[in-house]
Amino acid sequence: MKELVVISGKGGTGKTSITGAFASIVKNKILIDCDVDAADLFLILRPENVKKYEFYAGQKAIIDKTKCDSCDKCIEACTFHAILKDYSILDYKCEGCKVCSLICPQKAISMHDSHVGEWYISKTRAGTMVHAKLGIAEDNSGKLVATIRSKAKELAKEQNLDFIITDGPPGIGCPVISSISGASAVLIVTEPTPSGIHDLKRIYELARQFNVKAYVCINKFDINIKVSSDIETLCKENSINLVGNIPYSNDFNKAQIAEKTIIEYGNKDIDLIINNIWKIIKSDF
Amino acid sequence: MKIAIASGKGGTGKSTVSLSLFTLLAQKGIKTALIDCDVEEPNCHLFLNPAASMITQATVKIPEFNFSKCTGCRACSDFCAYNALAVIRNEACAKCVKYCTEVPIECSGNEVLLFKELCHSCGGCALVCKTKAISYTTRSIGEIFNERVDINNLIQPFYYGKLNVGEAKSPPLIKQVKNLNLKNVDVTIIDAPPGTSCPAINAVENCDYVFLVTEPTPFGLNDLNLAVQMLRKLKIEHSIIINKSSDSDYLINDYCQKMKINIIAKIPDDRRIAEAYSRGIIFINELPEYKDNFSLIINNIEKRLKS
Repeated sequence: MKELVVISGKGGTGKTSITGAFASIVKNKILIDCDVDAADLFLILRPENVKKYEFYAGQKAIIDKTKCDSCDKCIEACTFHAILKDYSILDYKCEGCKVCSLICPQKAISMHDSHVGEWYISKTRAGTMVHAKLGIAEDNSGKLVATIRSKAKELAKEQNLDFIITDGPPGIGCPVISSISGASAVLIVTEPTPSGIHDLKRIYELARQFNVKAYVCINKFDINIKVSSDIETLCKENSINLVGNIPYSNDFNKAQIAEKTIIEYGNKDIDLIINNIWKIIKSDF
Repeated sequence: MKIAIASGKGGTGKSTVSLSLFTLLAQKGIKTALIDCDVEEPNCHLFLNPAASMITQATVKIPEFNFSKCTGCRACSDFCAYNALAVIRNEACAKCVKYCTEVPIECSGNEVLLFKELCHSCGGCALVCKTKAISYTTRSIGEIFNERVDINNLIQPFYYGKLNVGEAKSPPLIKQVKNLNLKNVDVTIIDAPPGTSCPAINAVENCDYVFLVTEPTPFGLNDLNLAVQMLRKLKIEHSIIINKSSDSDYLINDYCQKMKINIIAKIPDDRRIAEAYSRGIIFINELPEYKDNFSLIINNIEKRLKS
């Protein structure tokens, strides 16, 4: 069983659109949307028979004001400035360290498990999808990502599936790390801009640190042929496998509005290019 | 006055808008600072030519252990809410200490492993240690760049953070970049990271106003709604900028009407804007006709400054 995670570093390069395309192309697979902060893949794939699971991670403090004698020790000790002057807790800042609970002389502070989000196992026309929704302003995205990846692997084994195709989050931080560790390969989707190159170098370095094989494709490559060529040179010089160049097309947005993948929408050129990208990656697997 | 440019969805044009506002406010003679808080993937510096640059290390505190005092009681690892500590009792070593006079007396036979990426620097482990075996040191998580940019003969401060690749948590660096002491600045523009979880929260909190940049697509709308919910939770006033405005704007227009949110500016889906961006150019410098698209935003800021 092989897992391909689609990441980018830079936001908005086309990860979800390309993952959607793979959903149409790749047979015998399960899908994961690891962008738990702002999941979008479901908008194209329209999941059904959604099984929902509650996700708890970490704890939040709660102060019993009837026991509190306003000594302010908790406010002074809180590293995260989560306790207001009126001794209420700003949930979104509380990181559940328990220091306030430990030091309160009146034992007025207790900890309760934090409901951080939900995750789902759904049926889509492209197969089973495991996805999640992190609560607004919540922490612990890395743990939620780890949970859905682990569940998807379990299901893939049960259903004898060959591939896991994962839509990754932007950036290089904890949800991305959690999305790529242990993956068979990552496909880095970049764009021909200074931001695209800058972020490509960083996300590639992250993949290297985590010992995950990286492929690169340039989306919207024709916006700037020179910069696209610079990216090709960068890849060649660093022995990075550049597997495809996708032209800019309004069809990506039109497909989204039609709730179709770009493959279903029927753009023949892009269909060919993305099929070829998958062919290369699959043969390496 | 602190204004954040945020979005929910990545790639909608936050940095483009931040850089444009930074430029336009300077051209109006308003002393403006730009802080790029997208510390995982900072991009604003790629479009600016700084006159001066200073780099400092951003650090976080982590525990360090005096093993001669450590009794291996595990109070620290039991207390740690993040599984950042593991206490190993080395039985063989303890025997050596007991029987062999040549073993250095610092060795207590116990070892505490710190998984530094998991540490939240809360200070709890030192508080629970009964033998005062834990003190604190620091480790670097990234860099803070302190620069000066000349726009229209006005020297404007520009700061950004760059997280070390491999670091999981960006909020500690975002906090440090935001807390830089800005003197004599009328407006601070904060370019936020994408999303609505802790990195974005840390960038927008305590700001006076947020402009949410969206694109008229189903993904853009979905993530805009998440960002609006985030700002409502944080109780920060906000309005919307539609970037890549097209005949799909109805997606955003309908939503904003329903939610009673103001759309303050629209930037058209002009390929020349993408091309300028791809050449590292702030587009209003090359396509000055688009300065007008920001007029309501500039008026809004000027009005707030006066009051």
